[in-house]
Amino acid sequence: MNRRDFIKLSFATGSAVLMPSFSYSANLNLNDITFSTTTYQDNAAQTIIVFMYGGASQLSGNISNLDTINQYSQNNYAYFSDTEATTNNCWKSAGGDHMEDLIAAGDMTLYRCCYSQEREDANNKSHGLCTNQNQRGTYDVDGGGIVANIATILQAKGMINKNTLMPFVTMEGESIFYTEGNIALASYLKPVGVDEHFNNPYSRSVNPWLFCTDEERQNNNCTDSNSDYIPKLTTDMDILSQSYNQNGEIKSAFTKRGELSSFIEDNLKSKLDAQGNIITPVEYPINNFSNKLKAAITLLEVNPDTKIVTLGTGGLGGWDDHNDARRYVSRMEDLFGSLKAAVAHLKAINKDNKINIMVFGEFGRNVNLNGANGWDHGNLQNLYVLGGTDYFTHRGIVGETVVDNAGYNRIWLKPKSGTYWFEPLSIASTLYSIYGIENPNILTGGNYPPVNIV
Amino acid sequence: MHTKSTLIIKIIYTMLFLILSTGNLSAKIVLIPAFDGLIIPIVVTPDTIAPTKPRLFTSSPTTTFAESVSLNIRGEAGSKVLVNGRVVGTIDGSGKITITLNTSGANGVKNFSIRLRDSSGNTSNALNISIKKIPDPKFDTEYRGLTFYQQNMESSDYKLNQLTNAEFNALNSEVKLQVANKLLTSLFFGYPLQELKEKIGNGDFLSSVRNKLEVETTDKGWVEDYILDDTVFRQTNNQYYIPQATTILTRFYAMKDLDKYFFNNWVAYILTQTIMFSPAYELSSTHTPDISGVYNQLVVMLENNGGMRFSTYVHMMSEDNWRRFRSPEDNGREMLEIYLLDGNDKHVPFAGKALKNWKLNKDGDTLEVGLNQNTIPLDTLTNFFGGNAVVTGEDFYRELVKSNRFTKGVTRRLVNFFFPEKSNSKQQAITNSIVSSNPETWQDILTQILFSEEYLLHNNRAKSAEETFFSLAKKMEFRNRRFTFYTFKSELEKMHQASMKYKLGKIKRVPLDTLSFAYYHKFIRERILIKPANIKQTNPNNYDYFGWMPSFISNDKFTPNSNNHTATLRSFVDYLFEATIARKATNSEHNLFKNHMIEERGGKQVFRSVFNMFIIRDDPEDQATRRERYRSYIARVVLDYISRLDLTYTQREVN
Repeated sequence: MNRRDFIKLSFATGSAVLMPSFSYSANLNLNDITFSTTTYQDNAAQTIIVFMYGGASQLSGNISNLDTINQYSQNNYAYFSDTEATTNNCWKSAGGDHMEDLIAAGDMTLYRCCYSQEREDANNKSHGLCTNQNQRGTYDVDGGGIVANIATILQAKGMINKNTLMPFVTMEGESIFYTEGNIALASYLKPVGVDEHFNNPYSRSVNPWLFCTDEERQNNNCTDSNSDYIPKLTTDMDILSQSYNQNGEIKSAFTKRGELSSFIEDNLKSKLDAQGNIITPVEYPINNFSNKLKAAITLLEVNPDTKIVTLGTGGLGGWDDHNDARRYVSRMEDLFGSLKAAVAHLKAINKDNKINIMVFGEFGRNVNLNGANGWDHGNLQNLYVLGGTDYFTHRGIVGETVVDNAGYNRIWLKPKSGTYWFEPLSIASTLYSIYGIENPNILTGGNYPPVNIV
Repeated sequence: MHTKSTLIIKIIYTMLFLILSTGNLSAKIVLIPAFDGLIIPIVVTPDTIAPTKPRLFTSSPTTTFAESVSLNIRGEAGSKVLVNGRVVGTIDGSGKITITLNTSGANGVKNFSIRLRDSSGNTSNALNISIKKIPDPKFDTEYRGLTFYQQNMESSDYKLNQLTNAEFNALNSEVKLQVANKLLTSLFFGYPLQELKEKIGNGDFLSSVRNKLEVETTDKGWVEDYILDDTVFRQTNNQYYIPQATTILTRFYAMKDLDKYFFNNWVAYILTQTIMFSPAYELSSTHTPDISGVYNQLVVMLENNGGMRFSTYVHMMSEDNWRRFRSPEDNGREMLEIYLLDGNDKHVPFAGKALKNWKLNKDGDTLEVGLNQNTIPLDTLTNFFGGNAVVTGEDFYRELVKSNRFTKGVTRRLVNFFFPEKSNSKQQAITNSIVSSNPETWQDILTQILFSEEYLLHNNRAKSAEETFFSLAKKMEFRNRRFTFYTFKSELEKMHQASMKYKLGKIKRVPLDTLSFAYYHKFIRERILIKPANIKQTNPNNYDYFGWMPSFISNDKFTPNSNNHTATLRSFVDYLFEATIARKATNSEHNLFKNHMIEERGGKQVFRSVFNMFIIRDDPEDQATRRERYRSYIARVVLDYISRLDLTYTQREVN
């Protein structure tokens, strides 16, 4: 990518101060990809990506530096009723106890230093740009999203094809994870959407009186709109209309409609109890994010063809905690309560070795507790990696931080000298690696997966 | 059998009629029934006396800065009043009328010739009025260099190439229909097919639409009462249903005229869908009245010529805005990024300093501005904005909107909104063209986009659900039920197109992932296209009540021919296609419907029973009912097919 393209990506009319200190192109060239079929097949990985939109504070997983922070902070952290630390300096009431349990059981790695020197140099802490970069795993304005790249590579390597059922699923609507790059995605590689209640808006009833011919009525069960029978006319309509529809998302959505409807009716509805709740072998905390996790894991269990499910943390609220950050504490507690239940769920169905959950956002936060008792945007976040024990070696807690008091309400956590840290683009590299790509760094501007995890 | 005498009378009548209708006489013929069912003509002495020249009964102003001037006129009761040759009203029984003279447009002398014309066609001498349009002094109002009010530019000053009437007229008829639809749909509007074709046929379609947007014809009092009528549109104070958003959606449906009021509402709606003015009701710190707060304020400012810098300045300093961006750093950062596209994190602490005495108090999420304001000049921001010194929060907001970067920023936001599929470089080129015209009002930008050649001819994008719904509703003569707009509002959420909900606005205006699109398709298909209203249903709560009215498919809309069922079907199918998606059906499509709906019987190609719109029954009432029902069945099948075409959900490049 050249300077000009980066500027265009940075903001619509550009801002030179955002230019990174390096230039490269990250267009996907399939000939450059070193792919290991063995790794792909042995891992048989399935991933749930939990993206924390708004940029979650890293403090829940790291209040090691709280005393120093309080020396400089505009408001004192006594604002929070409880900032007790766990053994490993997680924030006990902000999900810390759950984190400790997960770490102790070898189910999670908590990386405390997902930090961007590139963004530091570019003075970039904007939601849009950082989300864009983290979900593409690149600074290339034309680069594809991480999942789109995985889809393209797996297809090219013959790992998935048009018979693969719903390889990529979104439970958050559209996102940059699926943005097409320089290689257009085949329709069957584009994500499909499922919600946490397994609603089926894909179904389409027709009036048999209008759609069935006299012959069909005589020979088939074409008598009422609840019948499973699909009149020939509606099939003919679909075929003809699709012949006029231009290639793109709408045509793709129409192509998948029938299959999705059948999948939900045949495979997912049976997982619901009489009240419409998903039946799981473990209890989850009661919140809408739990429902999403339950749905994602159920879907992955039912359909091994699905490789990646993306979801936001909708149902908990956003993470852009500029004010009244007490709500962050309970939100984190809910999040990690749900994640702990999800890991228990994975174990109960013997999938904790295959299914992994990766939790991150666009950035972490400034640790100055401001006049509104919130935090401004920051540049260091935690990466939480759970499950996937066949291919991930969980390391407990990785990375140490120090406080950098940069003046007027600018108090940052930064990697301690000599500690292990990595750029956010390394998260993309991790994903590429577990799906068999052996040189993910060529897609991520030279960033490798976090050390020793894969 | 006619008698000889009646034949003679008929001949006389015919001759007289011919004389009267071809000669110069202006006699009237009064036709009186006579014997044997015939008619006898009687010649009446014509009225040849012109009305007296109209008189003013209150004085006319000689100067104005208003867009219109009202005059009270006296004259012959019942006579028409013509202003510059156009009929504007009729003198009432007491001999009076109040007329409105249009003084909009450029400053200078405006001349009006007012005449009366009686029912015989006699025209009075003219009352000539000259009114000098002078600049409204309010346009000089400014505060530290921030001008509050701005007049819209003349379209001739636009730099983004505009599609002219002549260029539009040179397109083939199908493309003209598509372009006209694109324009109207973008405005959440539409006309029934025949009406639209007539308007296109007048030869001045684009300029006439543009002119409509500058003149207010809506009876605002009626509209605002109507949309709050609980018997027609369900009303509730329950904030769970976000009633303010529902009311705003209802208004677009209720407004019958595409006029200035409609346009101002549309502009406000577009702005509140973007990151610039989204009321963000998804946030816990916002409250549902913020929706009407942001939206209504924009409408009022648009009505009063509030410039885009001023309206943004007012919005940024509002509680509505602070409920969205809730700390000095957050608010400062986002204002810089949203309006100036400035993502430089180094500017944020200075913005935070400027706003240090501003906060959102948790007590009712109230904006509280303290007296402990910053006193140290913030040179970094002053230099960045390029204007007066920035010290306080008010300085920050004021100088931000005065900055040249502001025009570039907001224009680019709107260009991205309307040209989402264009490349970055193309979006930038369009932005640059608009910016070079020096727009100072939201209308300057949005009108420039809407009527541009680039937009009307060369743009591809998905239609928003509002565009699809409101335009179809007007094209298909749709009747709502009480819950229609609550349903619409909640369905928009499922489509991820929720109106005014998102903190950062609609980052993608029309999400097309399978789930979002499934809800979009389902709504348009089931709630509009294949949903006829039951005309007999009188309960507006009932599901049968809403849908397109039988008039949408009445026989006068196409060419029924009981002797040729195949041709009838073809005509009907083409009508349905053109009325909804502005193209005729292809031969393959015609064959699909023909094969399903026409069968051979007795050696003839005739409608299958369930589609037989020419069915014959002994009981005329039964026959009429069945014919209408079977015509409706055809329409439902055809419209179901249309719901499967991407053209229903997209605006395409036309050449």
